[in-house]
Amino acid sequence: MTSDLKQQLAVLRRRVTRISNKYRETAPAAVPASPAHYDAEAFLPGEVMENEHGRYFLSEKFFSSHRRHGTVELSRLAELPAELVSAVSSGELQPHPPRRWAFLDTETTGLAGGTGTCAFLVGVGAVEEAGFRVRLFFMRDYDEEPAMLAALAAFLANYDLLITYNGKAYDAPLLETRYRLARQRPPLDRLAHLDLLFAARRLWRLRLDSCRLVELENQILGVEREGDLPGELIPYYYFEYLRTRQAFRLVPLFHHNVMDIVTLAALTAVVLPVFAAPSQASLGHGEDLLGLARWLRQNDSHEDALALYRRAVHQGLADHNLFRALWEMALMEKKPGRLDRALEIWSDLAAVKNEFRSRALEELAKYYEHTERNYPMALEMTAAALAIEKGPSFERRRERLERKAAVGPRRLL
Amino acid sequence: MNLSLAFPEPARDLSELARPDNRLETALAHFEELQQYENSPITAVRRLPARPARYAPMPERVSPALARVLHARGIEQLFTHQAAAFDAVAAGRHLVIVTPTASGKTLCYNLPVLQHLIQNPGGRALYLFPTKALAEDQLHEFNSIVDQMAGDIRAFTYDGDTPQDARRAIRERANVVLSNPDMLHSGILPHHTRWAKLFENLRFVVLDELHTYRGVFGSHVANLLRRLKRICAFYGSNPQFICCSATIANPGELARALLEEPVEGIDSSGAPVGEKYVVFYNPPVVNQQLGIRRSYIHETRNIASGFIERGQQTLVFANNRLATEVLVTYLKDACERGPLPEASVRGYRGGYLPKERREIERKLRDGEIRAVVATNALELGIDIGSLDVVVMAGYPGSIASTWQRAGRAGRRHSLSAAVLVASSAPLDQYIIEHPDYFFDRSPEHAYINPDNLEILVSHLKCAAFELPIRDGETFGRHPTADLCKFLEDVGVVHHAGNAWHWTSESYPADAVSLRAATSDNFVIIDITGEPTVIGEVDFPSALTTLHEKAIYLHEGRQYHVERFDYEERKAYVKSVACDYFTDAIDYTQVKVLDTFDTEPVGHGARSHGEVRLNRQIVGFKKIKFYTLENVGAGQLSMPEQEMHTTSFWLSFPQALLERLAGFTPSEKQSGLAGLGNVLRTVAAVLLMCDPRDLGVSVTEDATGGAPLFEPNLYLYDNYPGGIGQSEPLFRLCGRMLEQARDLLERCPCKAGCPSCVGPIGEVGERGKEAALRFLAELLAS
Repeated sequence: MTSDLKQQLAVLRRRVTRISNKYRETAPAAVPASPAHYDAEAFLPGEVMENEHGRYFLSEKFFSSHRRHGTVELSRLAELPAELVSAVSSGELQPHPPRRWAFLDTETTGLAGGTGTCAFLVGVGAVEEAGFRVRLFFMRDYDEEPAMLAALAAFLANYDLLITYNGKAYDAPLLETRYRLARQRPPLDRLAHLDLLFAARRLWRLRLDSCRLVELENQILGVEREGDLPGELIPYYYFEYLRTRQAFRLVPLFHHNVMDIVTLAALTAVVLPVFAAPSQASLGHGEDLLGLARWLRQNDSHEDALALYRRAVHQGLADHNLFRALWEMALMEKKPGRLDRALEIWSDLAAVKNEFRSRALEELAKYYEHTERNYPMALEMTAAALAIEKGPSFERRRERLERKAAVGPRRLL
Repeated sequence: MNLSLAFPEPARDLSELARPDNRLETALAHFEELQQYENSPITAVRRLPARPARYAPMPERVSPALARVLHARGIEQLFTHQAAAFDAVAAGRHLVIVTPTASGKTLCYNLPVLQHLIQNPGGRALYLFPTKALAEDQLHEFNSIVDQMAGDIRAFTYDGDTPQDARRAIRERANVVLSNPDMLHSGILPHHTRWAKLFENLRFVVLDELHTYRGVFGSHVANLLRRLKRICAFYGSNPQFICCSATIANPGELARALLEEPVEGIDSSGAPVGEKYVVFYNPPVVNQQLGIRRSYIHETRNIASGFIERGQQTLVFANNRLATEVLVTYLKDACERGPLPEASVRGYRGGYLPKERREIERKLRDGEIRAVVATNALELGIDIGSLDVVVMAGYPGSIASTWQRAGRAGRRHSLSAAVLVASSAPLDQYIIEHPDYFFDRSPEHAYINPDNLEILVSHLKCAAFELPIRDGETFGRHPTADLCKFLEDVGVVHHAGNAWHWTSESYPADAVSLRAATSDNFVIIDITGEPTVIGEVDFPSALTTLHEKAIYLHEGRQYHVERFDYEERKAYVKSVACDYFTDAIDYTQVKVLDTFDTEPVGHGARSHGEVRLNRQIVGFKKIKFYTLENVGAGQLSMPEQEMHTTSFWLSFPQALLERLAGFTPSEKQSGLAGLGNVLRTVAAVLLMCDPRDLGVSVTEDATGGAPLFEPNLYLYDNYPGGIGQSEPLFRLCGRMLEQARDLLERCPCKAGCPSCVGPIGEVGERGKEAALRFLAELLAS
């Protein structure tokens, strides 16, 4: 059986080679012939650590307080009040002071998900007295994963709140799988988790095409990352390192991870105060204000929301955003009975071409029918709405109004 | 009979007295009488005697709560096979139960599973069915028991249709997960950490319809089970397997090959069986000169409507969708002319929406539906209760499936009948004219080859993705060292510490499909009024039934295909009334792309390599209902279906062909076709696959017998990309040829039968002789 298997394997090997030769467009890139193996320490600041599970590699990068990351000075982080955390999560999270925050980001062997995807590098950023420090927990090979995971868990025990970007959907489940596979207790269960992606999307989705972290880094923080590794190449670089043991291949990986974490921290310093004090938010774009206003509206802070809506309209909005914002404002004014303000907005909406025009006309018709009892006026509004859009509710209203208009308004003798 | 009219006995059933002629006995007596005539269309009437029930007391171990529910359902004692299964499970043995349809096999696994769950509320069981429809059906069955119990036992199906938001709860809370091998392969095992609760507590794995896991599909499933056991071991569980199989020649062997562990077999059913008749019917010849027989579809309609009119609930099996729908139309028409409403006849096949199928199943059990025309979708154990009569339009292709379909008829305590109506296909004609061949032969064997290297390697990749492969670990019975080194060369695993780790971005389960057929479906949208989805059709059938200008038949209604959107996998149809249906014409061609190896064999040559199969739908015929006249045709330019695969082939050079001087070119062609049939049979045994896993093709003689014609006989892997069967055939060529010669020489038939070169109608008078001559040429030294 064994020799038979060997023979069959040889055939399969030939077949695979034949297929890969057929589909290879150019000759394979020449791998440097040098058999030299380089230690990670030689290229990266850090050292090999050891715990009861074995060895792993720990690297650090320190940013002193006065360092700026684009428009943000990192020292702002330390001064943020603990309550901000509650505010941005609409009260879901308890207050935690900045010194108890851990900014986390992973580099993985792929995006496929499932048990075969591994986080080979986990960076954790933390606010310290003198500045901001990123620690990078790294496995130099697969057998170092248990030690790396144990060290990460021990380190995270010093913190209460995890801050990530898309970590709820990606990093956290992936790490949980890794801990289960290593038969270790996942440390994330006891940590509160703030995924900044959700707040960032609220704020910037209307304005920016993408809310990817590098996009925000560029558009919001004004940072141009130089010589960065495109995310899709990351697994490839790590596999190449595993194969060749050439540690210089790791330098861009570590850099990429550090930059992601610093950007995450800087964005946190931007986002949290905005959500904590929306009315004072100094946002230069109408769309950003609108995003924030809608968040307030969802949290039932209608008056604050309205104030922001007005600021957003004042600041200037793209047409489609403007009309929707106006429509939403009118509904909010109508609710507590400020019909005059609502009427003003509906009249504006009814005057120009937009997707809410017929609905605004309908609201005006309702007002004239039920409040003013001015049936001819109501009929006129309904007819105008019908001219834009046919609809059974408009039709019914017109029929009813025609009857009422014929009878004339009921008057006291 | 006549006497009973003169001296009527007190009738137990008034309706019986009122319509004495409507009893099944009368019909069967009529068939028996007909058989006596010369040239009778009835070629066999066999009586299978009734068998009384054999009971065993309810095992004492069965918990009182469970016993109460069974009692309420009228089950006071068990059939002997159910009790035997319960005992074997209690003794901790893996088990395969082989019993006929409707013998209560579901209870064989539900009973021990429920017993376990009552005693261990956190317990878990995994049920695997070959189709989603079966899982759905068994969920209803399981829940109907659970609903009567006080406990908190939860069962859910988990498959491609499960909504995303329900999945999390199912993973955490389901005591019984009903799924299919494909889902286990790509959705559950690669995410096993999310299923930790299931795997930590997994006590039972149920494999129903085990006989479907044969050939390449079975080889995949065997490797899937290797992966499953590996994951279970990681979580510290060691589940017991309970398998159920329809009657095949070697169920125990198949179960052992799939599980790679000792398995106890239970094959003696204690369920009562009523008396049953099996009738063979060959449509009479209507044109002596041309040997044309009456249409088997018409004859099926006549026979079936005869039974339906007599009030017997009837199930008609057809071998393809088209025949199914044509028969639905005919039988509905027949009902309309008679006393029954048209709605009492329904179709049932894969393309119907699940809701529609549930409704049909229910009404069939309630008796509201009197007849169903089905494809093999109903061959598996969908619960439709028992029917009086099964009529098969055409031979189902194997002895096992014929018995399984026949088993769909059969009340436990009364008479039932199964009628096989032969088509004019050579295989049907052979079976129907040689009833002994059918009745004396055991059903087919089911073979698998879990050690097929390509299948093994593809699952080993998945296994490495799921958990690192430790040094010294075995996969099935294979040491993994060499295999892992191979995977390292290919660049997908990496050795570190003392294990091999998956180091590729890809998700290997996506690259392995357990079944040959693509899971792509075409959706059929009726745009007569508001667009509505009326059904779906699998990829291969869509090309032949949903091409533009086709008449698509659904539930006996006709739809004209307005637009066929290949890219979007949609077909837009409009309801029409016309008197014809369409039948697509397809054309297949094999072309060698790359020859890996070639060597002389006797006076010919053997090779293996990569080939391209081209199948194209080139046109269609319009066929009139009832008269079956060809009333028109159309050209089509459909996208060509291309399959790259690997093939083994034999080449027949001019010199060899000349040595068969006594045969005409068409006899030689028939000989090659016959040789193809016998080689496929032998190759399937050598490879331990299913004959359907191999395709056979002979180069067609496009030269019209010109001297330069040098044909190839291909045995190709019937799977895109190939599955590694060609190289072994190349190596085993000598053995295969010798075994083929043995088989032909020992076969007692004179000029061909389905067991060797194929029925005489297919290979002609001298097909067997020519095939033997070819073999002699290839075996010459």
